[in-house]
Amino acid sequence: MKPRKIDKTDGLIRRRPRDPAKIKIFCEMAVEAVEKGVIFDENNRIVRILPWDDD
Amino acid sequence: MGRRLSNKFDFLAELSSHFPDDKKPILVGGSAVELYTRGRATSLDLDLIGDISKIAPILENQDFKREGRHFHKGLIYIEIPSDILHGERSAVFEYDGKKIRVICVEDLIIDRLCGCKFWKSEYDCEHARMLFASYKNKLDMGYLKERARVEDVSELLSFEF
Repeated sequence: MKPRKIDKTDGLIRRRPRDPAKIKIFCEMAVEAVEKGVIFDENNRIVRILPWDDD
Repeated sequence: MGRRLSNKFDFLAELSSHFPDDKKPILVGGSAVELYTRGRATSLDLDLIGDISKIAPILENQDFKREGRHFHKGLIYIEIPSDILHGERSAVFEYDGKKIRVICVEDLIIDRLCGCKFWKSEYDCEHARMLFASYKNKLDMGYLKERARVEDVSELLSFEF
């Protein structure tokens, strides 16, 4: 394990995880964004990521 | 598509164009997650791994203010915490018609899982889940599992969706 600096979120008032339903939606949004705008080659390597705005 | 000229990734692409592929600064951290999720996760700063003695003059010529390893101008904040990756992989691909170099998705997931486990950062837990969900069919699972073992985060790899 490499030494890591102090977590910037330490000491803040958020103490509970976010609603799992919210995280699920975030994940679905990310999946959709990647499907729309990340181009892979035949070896599953990323060739290009398309810029985004409100897609 | 309307594009903001202040986009930090446009700037990264321009900065990267000054370097050959194997010397390009490597994007790591939250902005790498932002790029890989195409903006669905966000981060303020650009964390770059690279030779600060080569990158700093380019930034300073573009009126960035320097404070040690930190540089800022307008909405763009850059930190150059190190000059090398410590065994992690990077990938070079195209963004906005220019090549950029970014820590590979697998190592970025491991980085986020370490933040999740050892820093107890929910933010990093979420980033790891978003990356895994988005790339799960494209990942080098053998490499991911080995890196998880080395960094002692294997138990967090069992994402459920």
